Amino acid sequence: MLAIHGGTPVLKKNMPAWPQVTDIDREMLRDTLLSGNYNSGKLRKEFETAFAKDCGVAHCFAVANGTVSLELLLRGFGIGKGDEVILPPYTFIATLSSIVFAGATPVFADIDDSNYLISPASVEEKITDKTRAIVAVAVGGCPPDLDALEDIAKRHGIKFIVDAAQGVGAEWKGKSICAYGDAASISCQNSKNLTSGEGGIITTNDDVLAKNLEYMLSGGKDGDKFVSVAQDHRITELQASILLSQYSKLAREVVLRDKNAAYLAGRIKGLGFVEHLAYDERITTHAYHLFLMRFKKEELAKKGITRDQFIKALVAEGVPICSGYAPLYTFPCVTSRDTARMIGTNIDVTPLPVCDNASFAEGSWMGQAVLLSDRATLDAIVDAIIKVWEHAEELKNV
Amino acid sequence: MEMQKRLIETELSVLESGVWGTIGGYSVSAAKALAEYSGANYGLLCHSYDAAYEAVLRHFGARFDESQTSDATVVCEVSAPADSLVAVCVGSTPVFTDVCETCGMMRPKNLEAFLQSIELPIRAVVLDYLVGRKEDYKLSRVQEICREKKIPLILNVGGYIGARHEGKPLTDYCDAAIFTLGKGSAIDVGMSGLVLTNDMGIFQGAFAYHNCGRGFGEGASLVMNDIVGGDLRVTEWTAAAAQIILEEGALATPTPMVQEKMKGQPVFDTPYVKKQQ
Repeated sequence: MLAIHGGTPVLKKNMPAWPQVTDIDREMLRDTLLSGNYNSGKLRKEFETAFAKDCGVAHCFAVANGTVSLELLLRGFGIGKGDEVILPPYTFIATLSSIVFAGATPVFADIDDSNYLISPASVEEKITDKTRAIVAVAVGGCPPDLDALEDIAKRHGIKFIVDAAQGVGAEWKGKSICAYGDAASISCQNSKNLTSGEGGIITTNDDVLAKNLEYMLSGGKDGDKFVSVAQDHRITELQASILLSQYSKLAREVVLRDKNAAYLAGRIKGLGFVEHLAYDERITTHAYHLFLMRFKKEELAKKGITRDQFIKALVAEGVPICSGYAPLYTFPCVTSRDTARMIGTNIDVTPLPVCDNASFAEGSWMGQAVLLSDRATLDAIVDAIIKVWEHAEELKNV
Repeated sequence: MEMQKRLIETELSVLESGVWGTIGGYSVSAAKALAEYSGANYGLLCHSYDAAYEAVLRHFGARFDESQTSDATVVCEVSAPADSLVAVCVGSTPVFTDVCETCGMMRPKNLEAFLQSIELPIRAVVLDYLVGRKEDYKLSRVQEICREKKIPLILNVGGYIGARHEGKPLTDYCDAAIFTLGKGSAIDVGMSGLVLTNDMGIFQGAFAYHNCGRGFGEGASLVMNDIVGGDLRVTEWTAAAAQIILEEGALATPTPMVQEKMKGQPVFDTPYVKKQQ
């Protein structure tokens, strides 16, 4: 019997905890607290140097979080009121709020049906003479088509920002995604694959941008002179100490998630009604912050059920799955008076068909901690998916 | 040593809990404790002074009609750079008013006329409240003027957590008071900012702007409210440290420069200053 109807759930144990704490974290935190030095920036600089080196970039800034990081980038590029910034609607609100906070106008480009990432073709259609930047999100840790997007940005003379909030560890053609575009932004919020509770990282090879960021993060100062706006968004030493200790295990976890994702994808491959999203061969490492799947609506319709009903049943079986992002253009805040006031215009909220389909009909995901679990747990997840499918007709009234 | 031991134990417990950010227990309890200590109804901790100030300024901007895309924030000509720079960042134009030569704060007697001379709608008046200055500074008059004109009054109190004016909490005289918890502050946790207010609407509004548009108590659910909020949140590390320092009574002593300024002057009553006497 399905668990949603009172049966026993397939999954009986919890997913691995996240974040995962090691003795390195305990030692690092204790040492930082004993030093009593919360202001020096020494640990922050140590992290920035190590991260920049590993990503192959000239500049790295560790900041308060992955939302202010995007806002700082936009301001650092001189983007603001009257300017348009293209972004996908299938992402967390922070991508949009950073554009609005910088005073610029968000413009939505549709996503690609094969991978739910921003579609280069749709981006190209949305470019106007006000477009100043593209923000492409590596949703779930999967890099979008960075080659095509860089080409579009170059041809139109606009900035290309990689929102790698979920993408730390991802690589495209053997190179960190943080080294692509004009700049990249990473989030170290509590759920992220590299976390300090809250935190953000900016990477760039652009020396002018780097200088602007230094000014903004130094109270707007160049020496004694005020040369720019400023907001104090530096990361604290306590956060930096945790970032350093957590960073020491990131590479190992990236390998484990990738291996487990491949196993999971292989197990659901032949089922016919569900599939893992397409994986571009140029992605040399997928960060797997999320394991995205598509429930094929035509197949579910044959059983008379919807994705949402299916997911409800899976959750009852103990599978930590959800239906993913709602399109940002459906959020009340996007069309609110306050937002229009902040940017001086209204945001175009025309629905986009591929995003609508992903959000309302087919998309789903499981979080990264699932991919740190053991083989038995992964098998149990697949068993639950099969079980629900075999009893799918019983879900019609759910 | 006891405080340090307690601090380490607390931070290690935060580590083991796995809740390091995104509105954990300490971000709420520390803000509440700081509010109670200061005699305010509500407290909100953010990752810096600038962030705290931004949360409040954005909330005050939300009362304008969407056609009012320009507005002004009145700041003192002698003030913390953040007072004007953050105003620019939120899309407001800083407008500078002069200060009193004896106490260094905004001149109440000129304020009314000054406010009338500004053509733009005014988002807020920001007064750098300098603890330890002239006893007879008419803070209540500044508050009256702002109330008559329906302009929010923000006090930038710097690091003087717990400061009072004429024996009363500062939040009795303003719509919001902003503090820094950085180097040189009464509570130094490296970097953080605090909003104090007696007004639930201001607290909820600032909270939502600081937490992706999600109000207090809405948890981490996907955002379906009608404001676009950013991430101005404090970490559990910082919030826990602030709470421990406050509970252990380990507030920092005023710097020699501040003590020198206060010498021989009638001082405003603050627990911070009392510790020295």
